[in-house]
This record gives sequence, C-alpha cells and structure tokens, in this order.
Amino acid sequence: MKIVALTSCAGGIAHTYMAAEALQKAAKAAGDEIKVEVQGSLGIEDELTRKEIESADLVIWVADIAVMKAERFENVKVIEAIPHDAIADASKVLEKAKREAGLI
Amino acid sequence: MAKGSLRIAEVIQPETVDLELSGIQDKDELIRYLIALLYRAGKIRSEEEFLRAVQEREAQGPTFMENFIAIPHGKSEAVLQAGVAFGRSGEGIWYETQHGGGRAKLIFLLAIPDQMSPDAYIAVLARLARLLVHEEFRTELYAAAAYEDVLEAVRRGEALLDER
Repeated sequence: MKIVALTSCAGGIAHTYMAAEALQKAAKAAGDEIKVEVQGSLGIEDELTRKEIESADLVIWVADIAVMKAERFENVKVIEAIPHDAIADASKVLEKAKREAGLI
Repeated sequence: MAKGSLRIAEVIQPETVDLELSGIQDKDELIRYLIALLYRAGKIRSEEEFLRAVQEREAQGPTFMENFIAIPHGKSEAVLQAGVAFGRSGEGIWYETQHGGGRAKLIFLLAIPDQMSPDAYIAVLARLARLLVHEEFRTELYAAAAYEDVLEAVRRGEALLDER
C-alpha cells in the first residue's frame, strides 16, 4: 500500500529524523511504499505534494506540534500518531494507523 | 539528506571512544567524562565552556532516545574542530530528562564548531539519528570489541544512507 507520513517533534531534531527513519524501515519491512516528510527547525524536507497526499492509501501525521502547510491535507483523512511511539515501535504505529483507517 | 555534510566516520577517533564506561554514576558525570575525551583529543579548548553549551541544549528538550540511546550535543565557540565522542555502558547509565529519562547504553556526544551552518549541523545530527534506528547498526555497536569495529560500523551505515 502507498503511505505518506510526516514527522515533527517538539522534543528535538534528532527525534524527528529518528521517527522518519523508523517509519521508512517499518514500511519497507511490511512491503509498503512510503514517503516521509520531515518538518524540523530548518523547515520542510522531502515535502509531500498535494497530489502525493491525495493519491496515498494512508496518510499519517506523527507530530506533537503544529503541522506546517496543513492545508495540503484538507481533502484526506489523516491518522495521527505520537513521535515517541514511532521511534519505539514504528511497525505497531503503522499497523494501528492501517486499522484506524479501515485498511486492515 | 545533504551528502556533502560532515561524516561521523571522519571525526570519530580512537581517543574519543570508550567501549567500557565504568565508575560513572549519572548523566552529569557521563557528559563530563565524554567532554574530557574530546578535550584530550584536542577537539575543544575548554571543557567548562563546552559543557555549558551541552547543558543549554539539554535544557531545551530531551536528547535521550528510545532503545538505550542518548545523543547529547552542543554547538560552541569552545569547539576547535567537529568531534564525536562515543561511550558504551553494559548496564546503562541513568539519563535524566524533562520527561523522565531512561538508561543509556550507547551515548554519542557531538561537538560542533560555532561557525558550522545550521544546515550542516542538523545534517550530522540527522544522519546519526537515522543510523541509530537500525537494529543492525546498534547490534554492531554492542558487539564492537575495539575502536576499529565502531568505525567500520559507522562507515558502513553512512554509506548505506548515502546510497538512497
């Protein structure tokens, strides 16, 4: 399945990247395609386009602070998760999100 | 990720790696110890001055990660040359944070010169954070018998990240 996610963490830069990497790793292990946008202190990295967001099967925000350019997501259902959980167990976060979105 | 940015494998040195941390009771002692390694390796000009930069960063938010990892860091004029100190503790050292904390077994302390751009600084931190997500990398760090093994693990890990 096609997943897009964004990570943004109040706790610090390293956490934001760790959450992104953990999601990429977990998605790969599950055989999913994923693109992860990182929102950090330098702005947005690997920015998701509206098209990518709208064509994804699953959209996840892994954020504990306000999301930048949130208007890109206005037409889709967004599943929310906590950065801390993604770092601890990203596979579980993905599975929970899939279930919440009614995909499994 | 910025490919031209600083590579951890280039700055981690034998003198700044300790695979058997011992006699360290708490986070404060841990950070002071790793700073002393950087000082002895000629990476910083003042332990106290750099300690303040690290403590200021700690006050902003936790640098403790899941999986027994901590990445304290500081950017300061006291840093003469970018450096990374790595310490490993078998039983773990309590690493206090605003949100509680946890035991840290793999600790990387980053020393960043004041003149390094924010982009480059974050790229180094991001690379290390991404590397540490991979269990294979952590396993190699736990298994490392000597500095060379750590260096090899970091080299391999950084090369894999760059390939993407």
